[in-house]
Amino acid sequence: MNILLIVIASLLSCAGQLCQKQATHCSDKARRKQHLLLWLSLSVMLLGSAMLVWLWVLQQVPVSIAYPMLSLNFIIIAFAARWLWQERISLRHSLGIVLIVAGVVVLGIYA
Amino acid sequence: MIGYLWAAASILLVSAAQLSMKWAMLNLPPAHNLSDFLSALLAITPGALALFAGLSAYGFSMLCWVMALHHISLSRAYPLLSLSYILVWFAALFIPALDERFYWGTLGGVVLIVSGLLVICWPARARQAE
Repeated sequence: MNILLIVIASLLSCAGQLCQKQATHCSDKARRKQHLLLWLSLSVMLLGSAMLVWLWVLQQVPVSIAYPMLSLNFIIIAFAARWLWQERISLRHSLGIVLIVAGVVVLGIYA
Repeated sequence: MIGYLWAAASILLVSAAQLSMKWAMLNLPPAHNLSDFLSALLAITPGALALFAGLSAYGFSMLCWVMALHHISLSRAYPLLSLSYILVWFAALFIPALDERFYWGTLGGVVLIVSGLLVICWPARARQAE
């Protein structure tokens, strides 16, 4: 249950960050302001709910265990960039991801 | 150089923010009882103040991060972020009020995560120079 909450907090904050990136991408000049406002407010909403979930996590899991598990964000962002913008994941990047996942799994045992 | 100072400030602030929020949530009533939780916030208990301090530190750390990125590239700044994992893990063990315990396993987990982040983020040029 605690691990699920940490994953949800991580997913929400990544979604918020991706919206920030999307806010800076606008092809239509006439609607740029509207586009920026829409994506930025969506981002603030997602980051705010991520923070609420995170505070709930902190009430149940030691911060020395929960906080490093947020490195899940690096992995989620890498996969999202691959899926949304077709960015390549290099061999070195994959090795790093494997190490991070291993670390998160080890910490998850204690969460 | 100034970029690294901003990055250091950001890392210190985000670590302090996590520790402060942790202490706050330990001292506030359980969040699933929303009315108790909100009335503790409105009564400005020490926990509520710590929560506010933690959230402010978090906000300031993001500002410092933006300032850091004006001076140094993201690929150079990102590995530094992993320092905050070590900092929070280490500091939490030494703050009695947080009541956290040391396990060899969590040290192993943190080392794995930080080495993974370094593998991903370390600039390619620096790796060739090794």
